[in-house]
Amino acid sequence: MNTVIDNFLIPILPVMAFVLSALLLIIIECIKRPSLRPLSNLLGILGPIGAIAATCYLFKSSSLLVFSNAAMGVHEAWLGEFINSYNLDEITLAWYWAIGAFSFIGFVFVESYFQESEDLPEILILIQFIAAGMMLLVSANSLLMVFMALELMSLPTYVLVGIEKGKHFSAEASLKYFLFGSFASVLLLFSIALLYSYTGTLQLGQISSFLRAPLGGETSSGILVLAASALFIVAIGFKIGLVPFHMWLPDVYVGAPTPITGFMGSAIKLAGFGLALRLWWGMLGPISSHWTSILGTLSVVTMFVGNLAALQQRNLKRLFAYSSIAHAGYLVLGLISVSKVGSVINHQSIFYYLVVYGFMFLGVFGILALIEKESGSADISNIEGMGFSNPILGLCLTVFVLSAAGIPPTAGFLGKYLLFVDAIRAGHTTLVVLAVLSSVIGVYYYLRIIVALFMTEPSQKRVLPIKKGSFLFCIIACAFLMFFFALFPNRLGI
Amino acid sequence: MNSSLLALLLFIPLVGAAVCVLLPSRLAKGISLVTTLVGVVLAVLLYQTFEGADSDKMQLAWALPWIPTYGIKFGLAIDGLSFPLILLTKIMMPIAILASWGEERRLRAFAVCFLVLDFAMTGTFLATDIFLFYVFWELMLIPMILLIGVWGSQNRIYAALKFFMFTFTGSILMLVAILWMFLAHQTQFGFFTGEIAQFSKVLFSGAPVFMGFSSQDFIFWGFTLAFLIKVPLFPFHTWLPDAHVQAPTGASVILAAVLLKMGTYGLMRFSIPFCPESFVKFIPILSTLSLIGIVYGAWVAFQQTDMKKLVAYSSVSHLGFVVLGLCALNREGLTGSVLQVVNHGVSSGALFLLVGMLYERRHSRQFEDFGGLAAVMPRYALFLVFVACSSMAVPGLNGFVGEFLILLGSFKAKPMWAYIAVSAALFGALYLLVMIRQVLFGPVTSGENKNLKDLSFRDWASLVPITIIILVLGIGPNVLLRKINPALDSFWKNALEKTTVKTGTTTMNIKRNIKRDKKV
Repeated sequence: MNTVIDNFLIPILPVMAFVLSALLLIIIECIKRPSLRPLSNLLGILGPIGAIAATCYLFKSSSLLVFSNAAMGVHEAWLGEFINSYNLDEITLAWYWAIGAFSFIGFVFVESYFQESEDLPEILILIQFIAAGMMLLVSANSLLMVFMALELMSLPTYVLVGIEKGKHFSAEASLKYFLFGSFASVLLLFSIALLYSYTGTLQLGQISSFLRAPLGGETSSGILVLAASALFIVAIGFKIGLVPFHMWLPDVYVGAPTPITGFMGSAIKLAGFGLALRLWWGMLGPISSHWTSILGTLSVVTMFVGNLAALQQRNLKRLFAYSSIAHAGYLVLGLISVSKVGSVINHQSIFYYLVVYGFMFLGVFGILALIEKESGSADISNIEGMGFSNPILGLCLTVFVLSAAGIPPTAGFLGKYLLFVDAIRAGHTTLVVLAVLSSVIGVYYYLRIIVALFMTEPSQKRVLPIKKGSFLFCIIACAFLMFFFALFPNRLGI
Repeated sequence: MNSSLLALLLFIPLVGAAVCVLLPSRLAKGISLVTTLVGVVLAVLLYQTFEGADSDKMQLAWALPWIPTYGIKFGLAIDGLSFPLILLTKIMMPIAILASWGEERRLRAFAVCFLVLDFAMTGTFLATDIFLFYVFWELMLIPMILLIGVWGSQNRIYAALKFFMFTFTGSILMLVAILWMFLAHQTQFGFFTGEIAQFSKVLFSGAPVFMGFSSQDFIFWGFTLAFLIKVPLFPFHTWLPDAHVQAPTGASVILAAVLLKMGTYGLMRFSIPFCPESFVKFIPILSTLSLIGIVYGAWVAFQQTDMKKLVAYSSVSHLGFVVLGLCALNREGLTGSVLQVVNHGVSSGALFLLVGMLYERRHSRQFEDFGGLAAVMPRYALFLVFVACSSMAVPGLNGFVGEFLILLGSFKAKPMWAYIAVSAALFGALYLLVMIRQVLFGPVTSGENKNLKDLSFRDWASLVPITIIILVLGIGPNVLLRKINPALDSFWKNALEKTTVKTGTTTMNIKRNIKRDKKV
C-alpha cells in the first residue's frame, strides 16, 4: 500500500487536484440546485489552488528522489507501467506550477465573464480537465501517455471554443479547430505507430537510447524515424501554431470567448511546448541535427509571417493572435537552442519566456474581455483614450504590450535576451539576427496600441465596468509579474 | 553617504514619480519640481565628492546582484566621461519642468513621464553593466514618446512613431552587438559578465567573416549605428526635426540637452574602447559623415523660417562637431567634444526654452509673425542674443571653447576637416543672426506682438542658471575640466591599448598634449 502512495498517489497529486475538483463539480451539477452555484464556483477555484499547493509540496518533499528510485524496484504491473510512463523531475514541477497559475487566472476570468451564463459549471469542469490533460502532457514519459493527455487536453478545448452557442464565429471556430486538431492528432498517432514499429517501445527514454545506439550501428536515422519526426513536427507545429500549420489559429483565437482565448494562448501553448521539449529533446534528442535546421527555418518564417500579418489588424484579438504566432516562432528558436547535458534538459530560458508570455497573454485577454463586453468588439478604436479614462487598465495594457514587444524593463525583454543568448551559444547566429529584425517589425503594431491608448482622443467616452475585484486583481497581478520576473529572474530558475 | 550617493541620484526621481501617482493631480508639477531640485542638490554633492583630479577610474561604485547565472549586476558608478553628463541632466531637469509649467492637460501623467525620463537618463549614464545600460537606454524611449505623442503639437503621433522606430531599430542592432560581445567574452575568459570595463579586454581576430568585415567591424557598427542615430549624425538625423518641432517645450529641452548626448557618450564608452581597430579603420566614413552633417545641418538651418526647426537643425550641425572631435584621435579633439557636448546641451536647451517662451505667448514660431520684439520684450531679447552668441561660439562664452578645441584637434589630424568645419561655423553665426534680426529687430509689424509680456519670474528662474553656466564654462572651463582631465588624459591610451594600429602620430600627439595640459 505504501508503495502505491509513494509512487502513484503523491507524484500525481497535482493532476488529481484538478480531476477531483472536476468530479465533485459534476456531482454538484447533477443535483441541479441554484443555491449550490456559489459552492461549485468555490470548488472550481479549489482545483488550481490545490494543484499549486500539491506542486509546492512535491518541491519541498523528497518525492522526486523517491519516484526516481521507484523505477529500479519491482512493482505490480499497472504501477510499473505508470512509473514508466510518468516523468517527475524538476522540469515537470516547474511546468506544473505554471499550469496551475495560468489555470487559476484563467478561472477567475472565465468565472466573471460567464457569470450570467447557464453554462458556467460545465465550463469550469471542462477547464479542470484541460488542466489535468496539460499536466499529464508535460510529464508524459511514454507515447501512449502523450496521446491520451493530448486528447484529454484537446477535446474539452474544442467544446470551450464553441461554448457561446449563439455566436456564429464561435461555432465556426470550434468546428475549424476540431477538424484541424483531429487531423493533427491522427498524424501524431501515425508517427507514434511508425516509431513503435521501428523501436518496439513507447517509452521516450528507451526510444532515445535506442536511437543513440542503434542495433545496426550507423542507421540511427532510418527512414521510419525521419518520417516520424517529420510527422511530429506537423502535429506539434499545429498545436503551437507554427507556420505553415497556423491557419486555424487566428480564426479560433478570435472566435473563442475572450477569456478562453487567453487560457488557450497561455496554458495550452505552454503545454504544447512542454510536449515539444519532451518529444524533441527527450526522445529525438540523439538525431537533433536532422530536425533543428527544419525547425530553425520554420521558426524564422513563423516570426515574419506573424509579425507582418499582425501589422494589418485592427481587431485586437486577431492582432494578438498573430502576435502569438510570432512569439511561437521565437519560442521554437529557443526550443532548438536548448542544450542537453546528459539527460538534463536546460529548459530555463524557454520556460522563462513561456511563463512571462503566458501571464502577458492572460492579462491582455482579460482586458480585452472587459472591452469586448462593454463595446461589443475588441476593435482598436475601442481602446482609444483608455490610457487616461481607465488609467489602471490602460497602464496594465501598456505594460503587457511593452513586454510582448520585448522592451525593457519588462520581463518580456529579459525573456528574449536569454533566449537569444542561448540561441547564439547553440550556433544559430543568423537566426537570431533575423529574429531581431522581425521584432523591429513587431514593435510597430505594439506601438499602435500605445498610440491608441494615450495619443488618440476617444470618439466617445467609455468607462469599463469592472464588476469583480478579483478580475481586476488578476490583471494587475499579471502586470506586476512583468516587472517582478524582470527584477528577480531567479524566481523562475534563471 | 558616499557609497549610496549614486543610488540616491538614480532613485529619487522614481520616488518622486511614485509620490506623484499617489497625490492629487494638481500637486504633480510641484512635486516634480521639488524632486528635480533635490536632484540638483545631489548633483552639487556629487561635484564635491567626485575625485576626478586624482583618478581616472570608476568611482562611488554601488552594486546589487541581479542575474548571477549570466554575471549581470545592477551596478552603478561614475567616471570622468559620465560625470559632466550627469551634472547636465540634473541641472536641465528642473529647467525643463519650469519650461513646461504652462501645461495644463494630464498633469500627473506629465510629471510622471518627466521623472521616469530623469530616472532612465541617470541610469543610462551611471550603469556599469551593459545589460543594465541597455535596459535604461530603452526605458528612456517610453516616457519620451509619450511626452511627444500626448502633449505634442499637431503632427505629434507621426513624430513620436518616427522617433521610436528610428531609435528602436538602432537599439536592436546594439542588442545584437551586446549579445555578441557577451558571448565573445565568455568564450575568451570562460565566464559570463555584464561589466562594461571587462568587455574592453576582449580581443578580436582581424579575420574577415563576411564581405570583408571582421567580427569586430560588425560589433562596432552594431553599437555605432545605434549611437549615430541617437546623436543624430547625417543621414540618420531625419527624426530629429520632427521630434523637436512636435514635442512640448520641456521635452524639446531634455531631448536636445540630454538625449542626444547619449549617442556621443555611447561612442566614447562603448564603440571606441570595445572596437578601437574598427573605429580607426572607419574614421574616414565617420569624419565624412560628420563633416556633411556640420555643413548640411547649418545650411538647412539657414533655410528655416520656423524657429524651432532652425534650432533642431543647428543641433545636427553642432553634434557633427562632436563626432568630428572624436575622429581626430587626439587630446584636443576629445576635450573639445566633451565640452561641446555640455555646451550644446546648455545652449540649445536654452534656445528651445526661449523659443518655447515665445510660443507660449504668441502660439507661433514663424519668423514672419514676429519682428521688433526687442522693443516689446527687451529682457527676452537680451537673453536670446546672449544664448545665440553662446551657440554660435562667440569667444568668452562656452560654445567657443569646445568648438575651438575641436577645430584645433581636427586641424592637427587632417587640416582639410578644419577648413570645412570652420566654413560651416560661419554659417552657424549666419542663421542665428538671421533669426535674431527677423524676430527681435525691425519695426513691430503685427498688432498682436505689441502687448507681449516680458519675462516672468518663472522665466527668470530658468534662464539665470543657464546664463551663469554659459559664462562660467566660457571664462573658466577648468571648473569642469579639472574634474574630468584624468579620464580624458588616459582615454586614448586605454582605448587604443589593445590595437596594433597605434600610429606614431597618435601616440605622440597624446603624449604631447598631456604634457602641455599639465603645464597649463
